[in-house]
Amino acid sequence: MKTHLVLMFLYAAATGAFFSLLWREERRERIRMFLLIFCSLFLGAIAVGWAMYAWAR
Amino acid sequence: MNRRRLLALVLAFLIPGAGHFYLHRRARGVAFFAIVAFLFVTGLSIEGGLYTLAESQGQLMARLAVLASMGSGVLYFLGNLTGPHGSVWAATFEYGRTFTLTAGLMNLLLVLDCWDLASVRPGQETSAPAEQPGESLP
Repeated sequence: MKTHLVLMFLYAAATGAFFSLLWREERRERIRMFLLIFCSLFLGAIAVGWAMYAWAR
Repeated sequence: MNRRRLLALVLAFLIPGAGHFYLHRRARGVAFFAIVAFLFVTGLSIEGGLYTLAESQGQLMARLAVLASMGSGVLYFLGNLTGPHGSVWAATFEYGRTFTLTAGLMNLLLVLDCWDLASVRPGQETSAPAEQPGESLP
């Protein structure tokens, strides 16, 4: 529960659900918006983390 | 400001999602409450803390963080009453603070959304129609 990965996942899921409900009306648009925000936050953070690894040495 | 709008704003600030519930967006109101409360409670349960005025020591950014955290309304004040929470030595302390801060900011957005929804006069076209009975969220 307290690992970085799980917390990132929960944060991305909650944020995605919140903004998809707030900004979109149609079911399909909401799902698309949720996936966009979730992937941007979760997968984006992993990608940025790996990119920073290149400068760590 | 008319009474309906004022009441919606006050409810939205005090209890996340209550403004939407009052404005007949009931499923949305429940969902918003669940999301904001989830973030807030999770933030505190992983040893995160709350930004408080006492520890802001007059710093502008810290005070802004306090204002953002206070956006969660009753949740913030309940959290403050039951606190202090978290340990600065915990690895998840900043994660928890980010969760509670985000919950407050989300609720402030909900207050603005309620302002927008309550501004629509009866019969006026709106981009967000009231939910019909039986309508479900995805």
